[in-house]
Amino acid sequence: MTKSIYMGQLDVVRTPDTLKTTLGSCVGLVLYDPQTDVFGMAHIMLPKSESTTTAAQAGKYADTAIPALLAKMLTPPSEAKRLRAKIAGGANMFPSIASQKHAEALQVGNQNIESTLEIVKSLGIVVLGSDLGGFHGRELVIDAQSGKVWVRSIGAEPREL
Amino acid sequence: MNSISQNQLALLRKSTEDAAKGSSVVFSKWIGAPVEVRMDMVEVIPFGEIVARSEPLEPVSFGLALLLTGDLTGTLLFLIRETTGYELIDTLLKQKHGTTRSMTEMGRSVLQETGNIVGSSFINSLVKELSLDRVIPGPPLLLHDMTQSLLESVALPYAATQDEVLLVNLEFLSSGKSLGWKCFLIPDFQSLSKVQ
Repeated sequence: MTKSIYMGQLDVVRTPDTLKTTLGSCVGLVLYDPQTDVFGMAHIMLPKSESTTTAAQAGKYADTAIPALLAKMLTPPSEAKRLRAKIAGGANMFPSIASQKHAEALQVGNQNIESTLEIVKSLGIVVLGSDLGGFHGRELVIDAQSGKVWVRSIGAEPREL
Repeated sequence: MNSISQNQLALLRKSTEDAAKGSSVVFSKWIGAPVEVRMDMVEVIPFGEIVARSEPLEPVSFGLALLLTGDLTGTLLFLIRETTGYELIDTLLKQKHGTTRSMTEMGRSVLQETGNIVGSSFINSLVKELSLDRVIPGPPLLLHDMTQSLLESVALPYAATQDEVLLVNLEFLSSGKSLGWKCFLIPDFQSLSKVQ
């Protein structure tokens, strides 16, 4: 079975299933727990939550999505260092659209990348692969059966992260 | 976080429907064939539902984005099926369909001009219907990429100030058949305070 997640969502997958998402400026984080053989994926929209963020909005922000993903994977944060991470996305697809709002938004991709990497590293999780930035969209796929994570952009062959 | 009232939503639905009719006339004149621009949806939805609620979408599309400034701020995005984009270029350059098979500078210019004409006509009609003063569409930016990535990148700038997105979706039809064009207006909630 192939499942998809969209902006601000997260999910887990076990063999033999597949989990995918399509990314623009958002960041896709894949975590793998070798002890339980469970993969998790979060489609992160923004770097930092606000005081008013609810549990239902946890997947939207890097600082709430990663703990929520650990909980869904049933991995205690204290044991997170056994996980392995792969990360993709954070593109800047419309760089020449300029306005105050969009100028700020142009930084979001980079901020998402920085915030996600910072949190992952603070948990002691090793990042094994990444495909970040640039000006193009990406499809990120976890094939739990093969244990491989693929990233695909248009006009390019899929490549393993 | 900002939100939108049911009264504003009802007014936007009515105004979008009327503005779409105006765009049908302009688009038909531009390509020299009858085209109907129809309102598909005007709804407030969570960001995570944008893709699912916009189906069917082609995996890859041309995306034409126009940034709106003035009384109504937001982004207008045309998603154009690849084959439709090439056919439109051939139609407007008076070439046999099938001539254009990849994007050229001329083709790019044709699509951008089409987005400019149709987008401006829709926005101008909408502004009039909503009794707003002035909304200026910026120059169209053309991208060829994964459709979901295009939609996501256009919607994301609004995620920091709102939890939901107002999605105004227009469908383009010829003789009742979809042309493989969709148009999405994603307004900034903050700017909708003038819509009463």
